[in-house]
Amino acid sequence: MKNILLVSFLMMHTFNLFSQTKGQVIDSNNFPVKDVNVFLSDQNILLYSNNDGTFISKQDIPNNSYIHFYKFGYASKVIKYKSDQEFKVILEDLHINLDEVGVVESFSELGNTKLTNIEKKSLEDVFLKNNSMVESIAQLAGVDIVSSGLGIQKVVVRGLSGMRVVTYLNGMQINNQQWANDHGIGFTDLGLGEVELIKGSSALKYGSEAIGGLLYFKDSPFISSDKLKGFFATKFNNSSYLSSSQFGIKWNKNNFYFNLYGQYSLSSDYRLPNNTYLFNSRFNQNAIKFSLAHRYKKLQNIFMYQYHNEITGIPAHAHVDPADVNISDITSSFLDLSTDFKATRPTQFINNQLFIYKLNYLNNNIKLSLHAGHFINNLQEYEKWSSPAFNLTISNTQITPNIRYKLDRLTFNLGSQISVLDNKNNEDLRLVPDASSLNIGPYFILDYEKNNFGYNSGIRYDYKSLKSEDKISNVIYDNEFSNTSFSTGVFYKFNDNVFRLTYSGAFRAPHFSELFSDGVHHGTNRYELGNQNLDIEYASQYEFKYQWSNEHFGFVLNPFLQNISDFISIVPTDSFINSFRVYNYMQYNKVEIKGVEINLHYHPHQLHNLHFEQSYSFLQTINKDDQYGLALVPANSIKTNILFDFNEYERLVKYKLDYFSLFHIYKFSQEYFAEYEELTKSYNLINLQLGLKFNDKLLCSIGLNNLFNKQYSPHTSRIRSVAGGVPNPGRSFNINLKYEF
Amino acid sequence: MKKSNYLLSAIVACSIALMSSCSSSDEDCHECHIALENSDGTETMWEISNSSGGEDFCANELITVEDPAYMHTVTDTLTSDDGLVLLPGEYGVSNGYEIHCEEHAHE
Repeated sequence: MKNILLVSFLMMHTFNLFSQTKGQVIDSNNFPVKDVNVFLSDQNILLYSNNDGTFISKQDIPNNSYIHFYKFGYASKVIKYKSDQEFKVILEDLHINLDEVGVVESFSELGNTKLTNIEKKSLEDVFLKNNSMVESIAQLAGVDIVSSGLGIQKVVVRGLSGMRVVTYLNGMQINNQQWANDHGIGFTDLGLGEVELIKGSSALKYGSEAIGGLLYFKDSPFISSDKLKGFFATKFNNSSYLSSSQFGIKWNKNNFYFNLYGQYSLSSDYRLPNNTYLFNSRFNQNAIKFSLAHRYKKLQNIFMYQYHNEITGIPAHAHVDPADVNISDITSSFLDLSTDFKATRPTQFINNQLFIYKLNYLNNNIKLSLHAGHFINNLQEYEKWSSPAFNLTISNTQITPNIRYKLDRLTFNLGSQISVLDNKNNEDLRLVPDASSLNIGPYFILDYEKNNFGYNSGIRYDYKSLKSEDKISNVIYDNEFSNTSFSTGVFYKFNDNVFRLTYSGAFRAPHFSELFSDGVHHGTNRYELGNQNLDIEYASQYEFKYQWSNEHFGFVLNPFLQNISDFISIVPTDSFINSFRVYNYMQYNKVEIKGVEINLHYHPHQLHNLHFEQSYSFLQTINKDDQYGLALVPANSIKTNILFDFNEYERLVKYKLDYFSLFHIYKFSQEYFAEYEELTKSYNLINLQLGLKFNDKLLCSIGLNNLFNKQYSPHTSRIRSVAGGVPNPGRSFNINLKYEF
Repeated sequence: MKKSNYLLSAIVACSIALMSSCSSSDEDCHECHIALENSDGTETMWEISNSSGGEDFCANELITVEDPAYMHTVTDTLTSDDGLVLLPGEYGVSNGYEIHCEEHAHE
């Protein structure tokens, strides 16, 4: 028996030795292109082309697998692999890089990028080039941040945030009490490769509740290489004396692939433009994650684990009306480094664990996949030293089977998303009661593509059962919500012009916090009262996107209109409980959100290494049911990024200079605001960065943020309403190092 | 490959050391005060002493003083930073006062 097993094992590996696939990448002049990223997207494995443009996959690539070829300076390409055809790929020169807004082809987890308006942002170098992952994503048009320093940050998409912007991490929905603005995104950029974003209610496959948008974060892929690869990176920021370090390792042996990452970050309170420090804006983050894959012929198994621990201060806390707070009471005139890294009160202690198992089977026209995930979030919010104000554990189990079938020019996706969520209090003191929900959402999506024309349509039915039986909170609730969501889109390409029109509809059932809250939420300085009469809110969105690009210039125009009925909102009342103002949840009949986003990317023909990118975001929200506007709607903005690449100048390269970049944002004033908000003035902000490249392995960037030490408090700042608006950080510099091996 | 293994081991060891060596533990002792919210939205604070007459409340004494039902006995007249006096007596949630043990920004 042992011999049979041994022979079988040897045969398996012998077979593997002879079942490799080889291909080549060339440019339009028939010259080989080296260092091209060859991403086997169905297998999540990355290869690189060598000096003669060839690349080798150690194993057979199944027919009809999607392969994404990309390299800076070339138009990326997605092909469907055919084993009976010569495997040679031609990449055209392209000096603009508008892939983030979908000008060029790319593979996407969220669907066909031609048919759906999917934006992307690479996160590979976020640690080296940005203060934080969320700040990097916020450089996209229509995206903003709700924040109070680097410790608490979350994404706003076209004016919507919280429960309406759903976050997925490697296919698993992240439920981490995201209803409150003092609860951040729950993970860092550690080991992440890319984020995909759908704005508005078009994200059918990943749930109907993403009325505002959907963020899909995915890990950096596995590598197929005989050498161990990895990195070590560290950064320092003098605004809050932030020090952060990360490491990563990628390993591959035969059919096994393994990635491992770790992070440690520690920050004190951040400095305001007037050289005082926002007390308790400190934080500490630790994370470790790994993923293991085994691939054999057409079958692939992946297991992922992630642990994230965070201790985050809640700054600008007061027991009085936030508007009456004197800013000198919440800021320190100096930092005491022996005490000001330590947790004080109020503070959140957060522990997140994520387990994922993925199974993929690819056979010619069929791809079967099964995704199973379990996410546990424990959030303890302390105002006192001895006992938490609340201690909640939310656990979410999600199973998603999916079948993708290709028939000539048609692609079908049929699947279902089943999730069970349990919200449990670990203390008697509670803001949200014990509650649970079951969600079942079968969906069907059809894509059709022929030459320059494409069509896509999908439908999803969701059933949600929501229960709570909490004797301590005196809540007994049992209700069911169900509805149908849909999305349809068409695209047409004429020469270099691409036109895309989509119409989608989605709905969102009320959340536990909106239904049952009853208590002081120290993170927001409010007494929050839920409303058990809340019902489903409905959204429908029309979106048009026009794109034009040539080798040197790219232009995108993206107007949209979204109507949301029965919009759930929290509004202040005249009552006070325990000196905190009472806020009630209620529903507005109709809210209209409309706007336009424009993207430009230009570089002069004579200066290919100068890149000029600009985006315009204009947004108007109209609450047809109230004289006041919606809360936390970002002001209109113009974002500009100028990048000068030094690599074409030998003299400068000699001095290790890699690039210089300037980021400028102009925020218009926000005159349309909620009842408890006030007007926010316009401001300009400039950040500079110099990149150094000591060799191919050692990279460095030196940044200067808020160059003119501008005092500003964005309208979407979590602490905009405190003391007339607590400012964001003043001028600061940062230095970041990354060593790759 | 050997070189890579050494490097891998070194990175893992450093990371574990880094992550485990800097874990901060909360201190057990903190200063507390009686707080009264004024009608104009401001707050008046009077510093209080522990059972030994010291400033810091520690361990069980801290748990006791943070209990919502706790009434603190003031034996001598207290004066706030802005000159308001608090006469001897018992103060707590039941008569409109609160006991806070939060730290504040450095002045």
